[in-house]
Amino acid sequence: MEIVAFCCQWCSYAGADLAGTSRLKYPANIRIIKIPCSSRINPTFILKALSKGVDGVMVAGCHPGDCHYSNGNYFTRRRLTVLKRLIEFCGINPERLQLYWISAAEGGKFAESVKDIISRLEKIQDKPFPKNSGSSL
Amino acid sequence: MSSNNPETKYFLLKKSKVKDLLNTLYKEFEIFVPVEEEGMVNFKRYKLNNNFNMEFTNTLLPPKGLFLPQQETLFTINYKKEELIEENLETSRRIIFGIRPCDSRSLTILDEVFKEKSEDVYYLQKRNNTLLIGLGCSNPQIYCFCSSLEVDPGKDSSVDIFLTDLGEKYLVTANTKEGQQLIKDLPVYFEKAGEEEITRALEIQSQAREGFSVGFAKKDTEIFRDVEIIFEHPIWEELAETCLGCGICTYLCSTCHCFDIADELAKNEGRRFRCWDSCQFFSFTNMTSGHNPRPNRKERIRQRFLHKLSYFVSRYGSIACVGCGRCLRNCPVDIDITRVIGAINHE
Amino acid sequence: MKNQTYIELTDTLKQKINQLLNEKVVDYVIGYEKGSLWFKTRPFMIRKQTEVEKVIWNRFCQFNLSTFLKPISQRGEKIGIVAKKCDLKSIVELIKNNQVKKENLYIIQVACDGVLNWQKLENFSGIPVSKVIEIEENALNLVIKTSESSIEVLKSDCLLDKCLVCDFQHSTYADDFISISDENNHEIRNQTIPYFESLEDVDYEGRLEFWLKHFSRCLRCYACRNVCPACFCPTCMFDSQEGLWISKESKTPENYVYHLTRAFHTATLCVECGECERVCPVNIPLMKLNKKLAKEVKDAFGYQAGLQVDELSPFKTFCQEDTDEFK
Ligand code: SF4
Ligand code: SF4
Ligand code: SF4
Ligand code: SF4
Ligand code: SF4
Ligand code: FES
Repeated sequence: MEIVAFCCQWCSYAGADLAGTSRLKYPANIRIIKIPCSSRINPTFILKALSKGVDGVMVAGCHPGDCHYSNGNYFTRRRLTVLKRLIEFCGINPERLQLYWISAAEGGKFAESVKDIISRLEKIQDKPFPKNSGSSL
Repeated sequence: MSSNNPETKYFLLKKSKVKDLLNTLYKEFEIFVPVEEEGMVNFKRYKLNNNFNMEFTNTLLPPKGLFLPQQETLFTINYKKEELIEENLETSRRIIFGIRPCDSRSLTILDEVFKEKSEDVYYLQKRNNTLLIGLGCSNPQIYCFCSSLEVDPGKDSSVDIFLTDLGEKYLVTANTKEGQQLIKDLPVYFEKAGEEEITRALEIQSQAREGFSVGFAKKDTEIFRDVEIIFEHPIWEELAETCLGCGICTYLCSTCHCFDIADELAKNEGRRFRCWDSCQFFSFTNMTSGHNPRPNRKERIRQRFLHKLSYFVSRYGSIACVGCGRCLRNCPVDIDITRVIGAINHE
Repeated sequence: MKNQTYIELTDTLKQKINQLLNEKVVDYVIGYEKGSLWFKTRPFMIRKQTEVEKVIWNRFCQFNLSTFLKPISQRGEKIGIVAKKCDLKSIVELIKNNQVKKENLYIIQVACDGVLNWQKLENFSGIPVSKVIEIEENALNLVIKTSESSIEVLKSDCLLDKCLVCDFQHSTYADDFISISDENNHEIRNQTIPYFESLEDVDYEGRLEFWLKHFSRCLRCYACRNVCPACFCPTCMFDSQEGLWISKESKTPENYVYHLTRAFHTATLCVECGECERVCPVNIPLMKLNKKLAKEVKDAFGYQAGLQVDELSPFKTFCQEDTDEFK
């Protein structure tokens, strides 16, 4: 299983760090990409990952109300709510896209979130996007 | 591409036998036939007993894609083994069944480009392996104007075998040795044509030249020889006001042939491919430095017309347009090459 | 095609444009002129009074001219624009999103009784447009005449999809409303067209297959993007020189990314004018995507694009209490 995690640098990325330094165990299937704020996510990032055949994408940001830029994550929440419906309509199980709120202090929650998305993905039957059918870009 | 043989012969092919014929040819050739799908007719690879549609007006996409695919890998490089793997060239023998006269003419125009100076093996290999079976137009469409470009919609001697629709059957004309051989090899499908059928076919062929709704006079294209005058004509500004700068007119054009070459990397592999590109896109002429010699739609739309009507003519001696009308039919803002030529001459 | 109403409307429209140019209310007017073929029209920028004669208004004025109000095609002049009821919505969106200033616009709304789609005309009548010599109209039908025969088809069968749900009313955003009578005597052809519903019962794999099949045909000519009044980024991310987001190859997964991005980026801005789907040369059912997103945006935020100039787009604002299905 392959999962791409887009993590906000102010919170969940630090949370992932903390999970690491606290030696918390979480599945090794994720590839973390640091972003400046969860609202930096352009749907294309997610779509591109999914179209390459990854099994799931997780986006992680600061808790609502705690965004470093005040309210970026509120926008993210709105956008991803709609994006989920769009990928669902276009044949990708919406479970493959998850958004989590993880603070820099929540190393544990980070590990839990990774486990959570994996257990969700294990439950679904349908296939992800065919792998390597696109360009190598 | 085949050698011409002046000695032509006439045969008859019953429409009811076409499927059997294709099924027989299928054993030896890769065949492309017009197939209707999602409301569009396009050349599709024929599979045994597939349906096809010979009553089409013309295909939405030009057949150029069978020779210059929208994208095509040229070679790959394996970094680990440090080897370069050339893409295998198409070696299968192919037939395009039902190519219209304008489109077969477009291939001879493209040949000029891909043979000039260095030979483009990717294109030429496919071209040399392909037998063309042409189909005459008895009913030119409302947007066709091939006759303005000296393409005869009723008769096409550049294809290997040419079909004229006689209702229940086709009159079959073999133009080349290869075409004659094919007919000779499959005598069950082709009967000798009688005088009467030949006369009727000739009549149908000459009728096709009438009834065009759009077009221009040949002398109206002469003005484009003088690039100096035409280059700053106000019409380019006018067209640029409404042109959307999309890729429809170039991608759908039978003669547009510009491509881009790009490299892409994967883990241990690099790949070089080429793909269609369009002079209507900003990125077409944009340089790494950020300078773009054709920064606006005006310069880009002018390029499209002048390439066809001026530059190509001075380089290869013919206009790079065959009057298939695809640009006219599909341009979202109805920019029409025949009107442009008319307006420059008469307004 | 003769239709007295449209002839009269054209005359009034010409007078209006003449007056606007004459009084220098606007620098130019975006309208329609006759196309090369009888069933086509083309966008037309009218700058001189001598050009006004060429202006037309008929049942084939399908183009949503508001796309020429995108900053990329503007020159900072004062613009008059001929608009159908549906086009008004995208003008509203462009004003709302600061792409054009209302004070630089003069909007001439023209009464519209539905725009005909020539492909539907061919399909329903079985007569190729090249054979048609005359079309007459009666209350419900079009009478299509060829040199040999004449066939009646239901008008509503040949209209653009969007016209079937249009209310044809005068919009308060227009500076002028050109109509013959003040009364609105059009019956709303409230027909519902299934856009995305047909996919609703299909499982994920079936849907993916459906879309991949369609997207595999895409030429990436970008006409759907360029024609769209809601696609107004100065440089589209797919044209960006800084990063290649998708390959230049028109491969299916790349096209999937392009199409979902295009649809998503225009969500909350798309007014369902149908232009993208109309211009697509390879018949990709783009409106299914747009309609689906419009519905989701409406369900989630109660918002519909193109209605109010002072309403904030739901992607530009938020509520702390928004439903949080992610927690
Ligand atoms: S198809 Fe029409 S709008 Fe598109 S680039 Fe060509 S001329 Fe311009
Ligand atoms: S310019 Fe238009 S008519 Fe001429 S060959 Fe190209 S598509 Fe056909
Ligand atoms: S320059 Fe433009 S018109 Fe000429 S072949 Fe290339 S794409 Fe076609
Ligand atoms: S108009 Fe059609 S073919 Fe062109 S990019 Fe859009 S969907 Fe693809
Ligand atoms: S996405 Fe299509 S329907 Fe929506 S505004 Fe743009 S062109 Fe119109
Ligand atoms: S800074 Fe973390 S979500 Fe905005």
